[in-house]
Amino acid sequence: MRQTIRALTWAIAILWIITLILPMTIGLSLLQLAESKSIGFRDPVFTYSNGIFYLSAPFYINNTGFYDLSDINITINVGDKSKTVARFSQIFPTINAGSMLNESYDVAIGLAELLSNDEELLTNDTTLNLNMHLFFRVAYLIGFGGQANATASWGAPFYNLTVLSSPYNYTFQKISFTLSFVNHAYFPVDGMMALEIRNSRNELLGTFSPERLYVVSYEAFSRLYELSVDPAEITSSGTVRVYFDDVQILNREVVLA
Amino acid sequence: MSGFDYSGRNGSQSLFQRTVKATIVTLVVGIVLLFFWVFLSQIFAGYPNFQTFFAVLAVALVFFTFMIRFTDGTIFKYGFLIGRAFFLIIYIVYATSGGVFSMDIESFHFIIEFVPLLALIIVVNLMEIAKGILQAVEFTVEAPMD
Repeated sequence: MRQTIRALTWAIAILWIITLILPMTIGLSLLQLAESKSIGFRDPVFTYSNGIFYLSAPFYINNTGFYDLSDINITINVGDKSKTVARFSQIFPTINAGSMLNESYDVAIGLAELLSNDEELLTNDTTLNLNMHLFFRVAYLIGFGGQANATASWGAPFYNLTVLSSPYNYTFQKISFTLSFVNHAYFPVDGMMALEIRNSRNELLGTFSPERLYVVSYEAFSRLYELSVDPAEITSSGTVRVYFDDVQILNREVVLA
Repeated sequence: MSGFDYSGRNGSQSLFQRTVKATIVTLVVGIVLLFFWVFLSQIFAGYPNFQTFFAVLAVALVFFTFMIRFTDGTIFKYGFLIGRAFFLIIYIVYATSGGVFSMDIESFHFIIEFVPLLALIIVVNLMEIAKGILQAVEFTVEAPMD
């Protein structure tokens, strides 16, 4: 029994030493990581292509600590006022001690999804609330997590999207209207835009087939559209529907006659 | 048998000697805890219940240190050793919310998840309990009959 007690005493002493040394060395490892400025970010890049918004934020982590960093996960919840606009989560590979990770936090959201979550984002500038979570594990044992809130200004790609219609011209049998907006986004608006006009009986008066639209950042867009329509189909009011990359971005009632 | 009148290793010590020795050791532990309190108060300034949790731990450790020293040479010592290990298991699990420690520093919410380390601490304390039981059995076996 005495040997058993002695063995237990040694085992307990060794385990206590491990229990105390492990958090201390992990703390030192993290301090070393923080002090050597081993984490850096580069300028994020916003793009829009084929109906999808992309954000790429490159960063690097040079693991100068003693232990591997694993289970690295960054989650960002984007909200506008009380609405949740999008949620992004990305897991990064394990960074072994003494090695470097060059990665980018890539975010992609479809125009249709964005519009279904918050349709005002396309036409109104706003301040987005970003709720960011970061989690990583040191030495595969102790996990560290942080949560911070930040704000980011959002420039609407179709800011002040307006349809100005002129009354039906019975002489030329034409309806005409002007579509205008200003691109307040950080990226160019680049996609296929199509329009359709319906009368108050929801009968299709005409369409403008998709044409490529390219408006650079902070540039205004204004175009006059004219359509020949049979007077019999004209009603006092109607609707103009604007599609961008096959997603309806505007459904506005206009005066036709 | 196994009371304070037991003439074991330290059983012959008078009540006064026991009290003095136990008080001195407890004072040393108390001073060490006081240093820890000053040091940790700065680190855990943002942790809401730190003062309460530390006070509970300090009082319990001081109590167990005194009683373990005071009952040295009796079987009660092992009871207090087992009690201290048992208390530490419950305390650490409760105070750390099961190994997830969180606190707010201004607008930043910080979380440390150390469930594997907590499991190690529990294992160590369970081993302390096992050791205490074995020591108590050994003490009883080796103690002369009344």
